[in-house]
Amino acid sequence: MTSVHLAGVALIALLSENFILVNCMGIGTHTKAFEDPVQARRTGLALTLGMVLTTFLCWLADNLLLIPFGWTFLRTLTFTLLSLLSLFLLKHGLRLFIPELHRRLEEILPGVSSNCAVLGAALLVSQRGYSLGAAMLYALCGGVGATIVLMSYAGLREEVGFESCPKAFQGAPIALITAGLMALALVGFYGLQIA
Amino acid sequence: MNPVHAPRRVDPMLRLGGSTRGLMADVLVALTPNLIMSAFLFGVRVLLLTAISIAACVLAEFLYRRLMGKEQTVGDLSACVTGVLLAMSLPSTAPYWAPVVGGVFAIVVVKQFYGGLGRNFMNPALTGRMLLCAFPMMMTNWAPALQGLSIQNTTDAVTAATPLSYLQLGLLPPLDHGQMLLGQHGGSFGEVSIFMVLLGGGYLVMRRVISARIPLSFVGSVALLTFLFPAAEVPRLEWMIAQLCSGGLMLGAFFMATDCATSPVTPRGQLMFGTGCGVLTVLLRYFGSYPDGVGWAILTMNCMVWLLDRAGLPRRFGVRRLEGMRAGLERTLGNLSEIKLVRPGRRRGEGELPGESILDQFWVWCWSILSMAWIIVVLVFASFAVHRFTDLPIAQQADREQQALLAQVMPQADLGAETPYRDSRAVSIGAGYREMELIGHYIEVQVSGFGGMITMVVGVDLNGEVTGVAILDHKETSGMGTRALDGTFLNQFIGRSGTLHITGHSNTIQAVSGATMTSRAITIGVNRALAVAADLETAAPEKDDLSYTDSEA
Repeated sequence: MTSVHLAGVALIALLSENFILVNCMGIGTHTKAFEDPVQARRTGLALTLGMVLTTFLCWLADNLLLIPFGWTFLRTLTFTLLSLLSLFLLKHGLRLFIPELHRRLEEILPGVSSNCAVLGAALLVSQRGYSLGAAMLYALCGGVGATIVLMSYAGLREEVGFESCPKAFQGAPIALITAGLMALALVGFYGLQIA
Repeated sequence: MNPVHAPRRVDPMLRLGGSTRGLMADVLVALTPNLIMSAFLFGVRVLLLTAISIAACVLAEFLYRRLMGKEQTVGDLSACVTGVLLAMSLPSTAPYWAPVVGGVFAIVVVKQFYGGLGRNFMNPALTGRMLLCAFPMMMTNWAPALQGLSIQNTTDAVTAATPLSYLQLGLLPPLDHGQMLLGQHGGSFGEVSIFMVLLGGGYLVMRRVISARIPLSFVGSVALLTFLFPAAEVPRLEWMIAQLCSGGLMLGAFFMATDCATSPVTPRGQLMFGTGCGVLTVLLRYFGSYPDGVGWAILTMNCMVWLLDRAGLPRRFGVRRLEGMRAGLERTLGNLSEIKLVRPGRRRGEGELPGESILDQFWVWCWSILSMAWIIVVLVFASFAVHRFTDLPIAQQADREQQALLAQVMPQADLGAETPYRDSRAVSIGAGYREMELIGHYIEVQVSGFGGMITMVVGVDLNGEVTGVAILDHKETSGMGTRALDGTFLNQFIGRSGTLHITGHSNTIQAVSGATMTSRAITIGVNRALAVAADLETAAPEKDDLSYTDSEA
């Protein structure tokens, strides 16, 4: 695993497989994340923490337990439980040790625990057989990429405002069109090939 | 947190006393020499394309405004500018409906849905152009300059490689500096003539329609990166000049990235915007699937304008540099310092035994976990039972697939088996036998194609020659990239050895036209498999020491 390979993994997670715009994962978070930049940043932080911790636990479970014993048919179930466990650990760990951060993330963490980006990152990593370092980097950069997208989306919403469109397009349609336009910008990164 | 006020988007006429109309007229004047030059290079057809594009944009804006009952804004000429820029970023062979589709999308969806000029967050012309990338055949049909294109029909026009297609292969385009500068080569008709683009750009900077920060930081970062990382065996300076003069870099840097509505308004934000565009452009040109990354880079940065404006917010007037920085830093630190580690304290109530509250909590947890546990146990047993019953059919199916695969990649072999050999470049390595005699290996590799990973298996015999190629999985565009996945292309590889090239001087593979990226990816995969097989051969002595025999054999 060279550093070039790691850089490739990081860029793929950030751009060409951006969790929100390209993989369409992580959009099940509460709607405030798409409206308020502060909430967007906090959701991004919670999502990143959750993804990194879950991917770590799942990688360990996958490589130390499931693959050696040939139990790969239990992978989805195990990963689902582990993602719940890691979010449980995260929530109570934060509550005990960093109460202020817990206060800020309190209403976001339960939503993140059922977020498909958390489980999706772990499953993608296991499908591709990433090493532990690459897996951690993938989860981290995936989380950072999602945070950037959430923040710029919330910023656009605040700054541009989506009220000027025809009545039929107001609300969800224009929100989806905006997300589609942002995703169009990332089409150029498909198949990014870093040897 | 203190409220920070980012400037809200307004019509781009703050700088000059003049009107939006005046600014747009200046842009049109700046584009005129370029248009004349491209008409000279590619014929009258490009003027017709431009006219249709302008008409489509203006009409779309007029009709939308009229139907929505809003005040008319056609007079500010911004739709004309969008039309000209959209047309200029098309190949000269584009059909006449292309600018109509792109223009209507650009004006209605990208611009008017958000409230018209100044409130769109992406450059309309560029978004329209990139939407047309959904028709890759049409958008990669580059006619060479000075060939006299027919006005009506261009389907049989001679096409040529653009400088970018050479650069993507790590070669210098076979053009001298004069040809590069004046645009005597294939490409989108508004982007080829660097000299005319620079002339127009200079005019705009002099008239203070655009600030020079974005184009300079954009072009500068591309120049720096390409100078630092030239392709192998190419002189640095030549490589840099070729990169700067090819593709839509100059047109994008001066006319598209500088769009007032979709670029940051703060000076520092503008510098970051330009640099970001440059870095992404080089990243896409070096590693991306599309030959040119300028458009994608600008669109990506367009989406981040809000973040950049925040990051580049100017300090308040009268506050010195250091003080402003320190105040900002203190605010951030103050915000973060509220987050601190605390030791979990145990609050013991009156008359409680030590640890009693924790014990209570513990039992609550235990109960909630236990109530979930039996569901989990049932699920595990259910999956296990299903697995027991489906295990054998799945294995049989896998075996049949393995046989079919072997017949395709190594028809000579009658038995295939997994080997314990591992290589970081290959997913797995198998061995093919004929009457218990090893005749070759088949190697599964993954390469990035146009749409995603291509998983393919390459059979290589003991002489290092390809015996067959099979594609297991791909995400290529149906009807386009998939044409490089059928037998006629894959059979080219049979019997080949050494390092294969898709273009070049020796040992070439004929790429499928319109599916060059896929052809290239498959060639890379075959080369990788050949290299893995060659390493297996050199490691042969140890292999004998292993005396590996398949237990089933």
